[in-house]
Amino acid sequence: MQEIYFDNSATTKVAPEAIAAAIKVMAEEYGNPSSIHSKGVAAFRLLQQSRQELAQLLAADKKEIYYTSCGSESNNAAIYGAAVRLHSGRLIVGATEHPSLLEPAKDLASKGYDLQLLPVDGWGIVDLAVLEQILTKDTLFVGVHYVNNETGAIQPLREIGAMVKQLAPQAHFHIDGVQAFGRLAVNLAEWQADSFAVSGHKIHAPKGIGLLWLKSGSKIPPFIRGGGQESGWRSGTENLPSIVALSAAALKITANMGQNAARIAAVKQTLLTNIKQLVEESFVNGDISQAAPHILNMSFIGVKSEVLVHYLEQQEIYVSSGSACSSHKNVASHVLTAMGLSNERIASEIRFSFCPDNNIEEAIIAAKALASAVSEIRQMTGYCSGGKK
Amino acid sequence: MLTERIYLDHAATTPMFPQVIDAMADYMRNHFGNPSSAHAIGRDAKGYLEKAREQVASLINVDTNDVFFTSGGTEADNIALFGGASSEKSKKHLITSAVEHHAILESCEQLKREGYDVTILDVDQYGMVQPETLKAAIREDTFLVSIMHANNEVGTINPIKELAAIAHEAGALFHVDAVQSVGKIEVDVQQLDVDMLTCSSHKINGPKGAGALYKRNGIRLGRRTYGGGQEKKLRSGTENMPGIFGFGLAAELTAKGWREEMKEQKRLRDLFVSQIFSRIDQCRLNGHPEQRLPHNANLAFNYIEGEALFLYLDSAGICCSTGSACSSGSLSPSHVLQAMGIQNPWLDSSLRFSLGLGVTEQQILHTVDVLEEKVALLRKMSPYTPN
Repeated sequence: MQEIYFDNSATTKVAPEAIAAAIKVMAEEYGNPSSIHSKGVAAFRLLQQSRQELAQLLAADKKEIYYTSCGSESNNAAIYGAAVRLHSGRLIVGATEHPSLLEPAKDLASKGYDLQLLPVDGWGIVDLAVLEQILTKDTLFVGVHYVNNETGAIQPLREIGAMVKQLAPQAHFHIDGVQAFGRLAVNLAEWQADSFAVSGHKIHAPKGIGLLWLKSGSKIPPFIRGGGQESGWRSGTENLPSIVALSAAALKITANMGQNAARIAAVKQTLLTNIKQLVEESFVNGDISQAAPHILNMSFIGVKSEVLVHYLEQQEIYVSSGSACSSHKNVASHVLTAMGLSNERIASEIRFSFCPDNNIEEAIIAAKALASAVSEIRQMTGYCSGGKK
Repeated sequence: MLTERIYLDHAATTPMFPQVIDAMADYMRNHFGNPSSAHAIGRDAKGYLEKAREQVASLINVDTNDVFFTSGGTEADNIALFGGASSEKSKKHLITSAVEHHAILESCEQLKREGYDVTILDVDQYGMVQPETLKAAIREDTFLVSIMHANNEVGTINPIKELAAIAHEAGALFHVDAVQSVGKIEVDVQQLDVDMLTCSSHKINGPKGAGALYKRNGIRLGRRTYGGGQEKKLRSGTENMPGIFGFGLAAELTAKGWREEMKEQKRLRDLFVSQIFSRIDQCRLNGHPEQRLPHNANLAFNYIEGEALFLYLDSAGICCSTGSACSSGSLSPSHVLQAMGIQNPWLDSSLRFSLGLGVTEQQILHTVDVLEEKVALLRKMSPYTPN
């Protein structure tokens, strides 16, 4: 049986180009980019070349690219850095953010900052009217993601940015771009963003590498201190093989973005159409017409998410119940909760997330397997369509 | 002339074990799961994560559950210090030494700005922290003592067991930065009796981008990175799986081979130093003559600029270092040599040579030849050279 991997928002397979790039650096350019001898200089040149490539993809200056170990570190560095500029003030964070923004925000709230969670509507889109009300002059930080990791909801970044700059000009506007980069167009200038987080392993680079684009002039102090690498902003010997691999993966995925989106949309539509035909009481969470192409979030009433995940994996079909980060914890999705969905929708949430390697045949097979799994589970638990057990 | 490069800067970073490169390539091609995913592909990755944890734990002789992966030694040092500080409510004093890595010194600078009281211990002429110095500085409100196992520039080994005992007697925790010593000398946490220890993958022929903090069970550290709650909430962020996998394998290979490897590197280092002393006059060895890492030779050549010699060597295909690589391209005089009381003309004329995997006797003898020639050349040009 052929493996079907529909969990590309959790992590992706490393692209062959990225593996080749990383291995070449490991074998040939093992120097420390901080060393001033020729072996170090060769490594430093590769580092700067990768930085230039990433900068171009973000239409940014290479001095604004700071490598980190992952998206979570980028998000943590942005919010803590923006907060510590003053000892108090308001922080505004979307209610459906990734835990790497939400949890630091809660930690800062416990230290005396005024945290406001920005609510979302039933489609998972932030409420701009509320934002307008809570953007005060003492707002230090506004952090939202471009694309939600569970539902694919796309946030109105241009409107948010304009509002932030108008009502709280001193606030730092951070965008978590982890789920979006390489899949949707990025326009940092139009959004008036101050920082933007990227993770490698969501775009077919290895795990262990990310970056923070930090607008020049932003006064964000370092999060990890030491030898002063990354222009003094992020200490620690640079993970050069993975940095070079990140560039290789990013160049590949962005070069084919339009083509990828069309391909993925067809897979997603096939899966959805087939599921809708085969499974009663199946619901899409979020607005599929407005969502990012690579995520489909559905609920199958009466079927617990974890049970369905394990049923499908018996047939080598890999999906997830919400996000990977929370999958070992038995907590209800904060994203669907914030969208105001019913408990039975939340308890039966399944996320399918796609990459350009997926194909329509996989979607058809997965839909069939899912339909029989759902019906089997519903039978076992005594769930009758249209009613409770 | 010589096309083969001679790499004598293994303290800055090391070439990877070829088997580790091959295994990582294979891992990246065949395993890509997120260890947090509940399905089989995630559990597969989780299995490799825990295997690597065992391999690293075994190298430093600790319980597997007490090893926490980070993005490198610097992050591990930051977690130990900032985490130690933020979990401590009443005590406000911490102690470190003047010759620490910048990951420790810069973190201490920041903690000072945040209101902590930091004592920076002096070292002796060899760069060693004397137990009496710590005894005199430790106080009732000292919550943490952080002292490196072996120095990255001069290779001097500190008496960690004694220092840790002093800290414990005063009720303080003891953290050791063992980035330079792991794989070079015996690093057995049970024997050293420390509470926390930092190690790094790329200094033991593993990949860059991975490191670990050992934390004794029961010690509470304030969290630094919040998010998905990985590494038992100490360090959120999807685990660097090819990197950690490679780190684990490098740790296993190091555990198996370091004694033999370092015996050979010590022989070559001793040969190197004795050849230089017999062929070049007005030289000194910085650091302790015996209590030093087996692969390190930090040498000063009177009357000349270390940087000039460094550049001559580099253009002859020999990589060494003017200090530590970690000061990021900086050419400022070494804070370590200064703390040891070394002054000019010996300060600016010092170079670090650190040996390791792949270094041969032929390379060492060739390096001595080149050094003899270039030192003579530079001394001829130097205004400081006596007639």
